[in-house]
Amino acid sequence: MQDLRKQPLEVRLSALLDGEVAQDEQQELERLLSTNGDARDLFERLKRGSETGTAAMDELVKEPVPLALVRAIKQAPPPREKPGPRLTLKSLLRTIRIAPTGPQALAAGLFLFLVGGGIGYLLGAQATGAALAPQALAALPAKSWLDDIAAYHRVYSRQQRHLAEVPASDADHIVEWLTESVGVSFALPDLTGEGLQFRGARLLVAEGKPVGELLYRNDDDDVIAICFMKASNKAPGTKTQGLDETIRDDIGLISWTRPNASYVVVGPSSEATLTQIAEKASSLL
Amino acid sequence: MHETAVSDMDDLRRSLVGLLPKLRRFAMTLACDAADADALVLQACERAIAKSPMHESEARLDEWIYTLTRTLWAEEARKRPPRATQASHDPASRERISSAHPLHETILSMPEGLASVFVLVNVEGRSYGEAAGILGIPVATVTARLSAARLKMAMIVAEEEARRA
Repeated sequence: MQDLRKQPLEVRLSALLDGEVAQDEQQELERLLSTNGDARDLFERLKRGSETGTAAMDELVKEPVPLALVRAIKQAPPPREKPGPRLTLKSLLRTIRIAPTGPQALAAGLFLFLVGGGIGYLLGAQATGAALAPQALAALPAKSWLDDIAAYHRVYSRQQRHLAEVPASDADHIVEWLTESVGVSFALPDLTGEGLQFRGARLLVAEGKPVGELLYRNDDDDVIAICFMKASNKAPGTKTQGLDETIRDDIGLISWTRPNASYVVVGPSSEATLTQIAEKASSLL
Repeated sequence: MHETAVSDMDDLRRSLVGLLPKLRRFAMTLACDAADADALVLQACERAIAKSPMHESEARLDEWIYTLTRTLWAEEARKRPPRATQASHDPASRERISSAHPLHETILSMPEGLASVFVLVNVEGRSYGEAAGILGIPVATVTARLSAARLKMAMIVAEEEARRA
């Protein structure tokens, strides 16, 4: 604790308000306050300033944070990995302490040329008849299906009167219809615990394939949707993957995959609970 | 390993977004201008994300990001001394400071350094030592500035009441 005895009285009394004075000085100041009217008046002014300022500055945190600021932080580039020391032939030779003579270097160069040429020839011959690996095909649609979903969401989330194709009141029909159309069986997730009210469903097309979309609204009237599509037959055995966050401008997407289907929760990128919603939805679908 | 790093980065971004309301308020006490404060907050958060491997997990994120914000503002002030030290504290030169409370402008236009100390200690309940660490000033300076800020605010309220009477 500071010894403030040499400081002006207002500084000492201000520190007393915060309990930032030593115990003996605190007792001394409390004695002064009980006997000295001017000190009491000064103390009251400090308290009043403290209370008034706090009330005013508390209002400042209630102001809405600009959406652009939230998005910029969510999209800020991660730290770059520190590059290792640059590897050059000279540094490599220095490290392994080899000093080849001229003919040795020429022979090594010729050997490497022949080995490299042989490998290149073999790879080229294989590539002409080979198909792309299934993993490569599986990886390609992932990006564009999310792009399609983000584009749909940007349009449909602004619809007030025609948000859903089939309203929430036809819940049984929605399950039957989308299960048959999309080829993915599911149960309608109840997300009322997450503050979401089910409003209905749509059938979309992404990557040329049917996608089921379950539409919800939160307390702020924002639309948050769950979309799902059947996994590609060309990519059998796709493994279950955890949640992956993607941002497309003002749209946030939390996606995950299971062996037979891909899923995504889509909503405003400023919505802080999208991940929790996705976690809950993935356990209920 | 890589997935853990990505997850940590997402957690950091979420934590920073959660801190935004208070961080913006702190930045306003430095910049005295809403647009400058938002630019400062963004710069600080970007730097925090870029430097995240250097942040010790035991250290409090809020203190770290506040300190980064103050450091960045000090760097900016060195580049732009006239605006940072004089013009920004002139109410006529500021833009879009909240008008939700009549005292905001008055508080933010107090002599430089008073509003920051006031917010850290009086409003957010930090100790003098924490505030001194964030602001890079001695504890004795925090003590003196806080007292001055409280008396200044009491005077403003008294003047306002006298004007209304």
